[in-house]
Amino acid sequence: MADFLFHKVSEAEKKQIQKQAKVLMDKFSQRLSKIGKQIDDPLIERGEGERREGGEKIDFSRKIMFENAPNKNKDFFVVERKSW
Amino acid sequence: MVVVEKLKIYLEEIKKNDKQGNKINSFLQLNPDVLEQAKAIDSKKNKGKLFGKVIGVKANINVEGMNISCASKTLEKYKAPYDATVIKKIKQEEGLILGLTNMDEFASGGSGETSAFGAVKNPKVLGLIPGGSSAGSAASVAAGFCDVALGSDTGGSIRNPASHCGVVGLKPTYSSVSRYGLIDLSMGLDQIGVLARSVGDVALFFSIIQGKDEKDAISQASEKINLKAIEKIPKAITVGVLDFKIQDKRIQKLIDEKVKQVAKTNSWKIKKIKINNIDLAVETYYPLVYVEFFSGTRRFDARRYGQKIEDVAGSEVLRRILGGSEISKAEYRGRYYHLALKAKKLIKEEFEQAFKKVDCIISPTVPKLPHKIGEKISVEDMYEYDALTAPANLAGNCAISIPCGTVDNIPVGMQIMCDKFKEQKLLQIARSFEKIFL
Repeated sequence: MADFLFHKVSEAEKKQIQKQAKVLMDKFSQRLSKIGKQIDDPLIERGEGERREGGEKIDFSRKIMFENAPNKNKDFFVVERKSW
Repeated sequence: MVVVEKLKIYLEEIKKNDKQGNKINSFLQLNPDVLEQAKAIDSKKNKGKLFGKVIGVKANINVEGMNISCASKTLEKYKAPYDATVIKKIKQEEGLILGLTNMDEFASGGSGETSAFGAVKNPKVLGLIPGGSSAGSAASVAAGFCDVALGSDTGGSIRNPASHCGVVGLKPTYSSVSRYGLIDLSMGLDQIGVLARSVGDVALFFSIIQGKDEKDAISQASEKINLKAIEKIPKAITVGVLDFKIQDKRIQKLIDEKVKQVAKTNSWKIKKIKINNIDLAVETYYPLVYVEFFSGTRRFDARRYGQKIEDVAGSEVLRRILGGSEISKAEYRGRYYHLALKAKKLIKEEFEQAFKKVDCIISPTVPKLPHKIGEKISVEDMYEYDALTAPANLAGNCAISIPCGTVDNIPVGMQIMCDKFKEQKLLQIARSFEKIFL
């Protein structure tokens, strides 16, 4: 049974969640593999490697973007190397 | 001062029952400039098509300057630097944005319980879940806090709460409404849609927000909705009743009775319709969502904004991230995501064949009544709420939930599905049902 109300998740619970998620996906995958009919590959081959996204210049607030940043210096974000 | 007066009534109602009184908790943030904007709208000479409409927006759709938190501590202080395309369109027609509505965290849920800022209550039955993930959008409309609300629907997140809260909820055809400015749950399935107290309002808003957008590469133009024609009862309709056994037979009985009543009144035909493999919709849906959500959340790393999602998210969000991370590993190639894509294609083809025989497919929106807020249920039981709504997302079809009565005084929704880009037909059929139910 799971508690869906928001709560802080401990490391122990995270590990439990990870295991349960895999078990559930395995169950789902097993049920799907029983589909008898041969299905064509669903993937669509693109003509080009990158799609073109057009339209007018994107209008966004630079001011708000910088307000959102945890760390900044003048007009650039400050991010620690190797922190990810 | 039409808009100002209406706004004041809504604000009074929100003050009485959203954080106090019934404590519905449907809004996360009210627009700080709403009164000024209402006055500005009232003073305009040329009134737009949405003049007089007061709107809630799910907190995963960008409204410039407001906290688009997705109901998560990850983005608790994140302010949207731009308006989503749907918001731009609404503002252009003088719609008034009242505030951001509560939701399941990052749209990962079907109950309205998982928000980091408290669960939403069902205004019609206070101790029960309102459904999700567009919980606050459905609840705010049901509670009379606004006219209309925007939501997003990936596996049922508009229709599910619409059903539980007794309102109308439309999931448009995939790609018919721009998703530019929507924070995604699952890109292959997400769609922005509308919740309201009437089919008419849902149709009006869809007619405004639909359309191709250069900023959303998969969006497409579709038949412009004729609002007057929605009032005409269509002739010679064949209604397909979905052949699918659900847990709560009382719900199916109610749907069957309503279908017979409306079909008889309008001289429509009824046909039982079987969709092969629809019983695998949940098993198809979740691997796709897990992987796409894991991919989409890599940006929440606390570098440019917010907090690192893995440090602060709730259990269901973590389940999807950790599960998605696991099953997208190279060593599992072909076993999960690719297999689910194949099943998705199969279900899509089944629907295409079915719509050659019937004009619409009707079923209950949700296979069981909503549970109590905070009740512990298994993950599989929670996912089962999506059994009847996820198929439309997998196939890309349009689908609507309309209130059709109650079981144990709990609202029950009827889902009507039509083929892709057939919203005109869908809305006409839904309105025909609504005329008889009212």
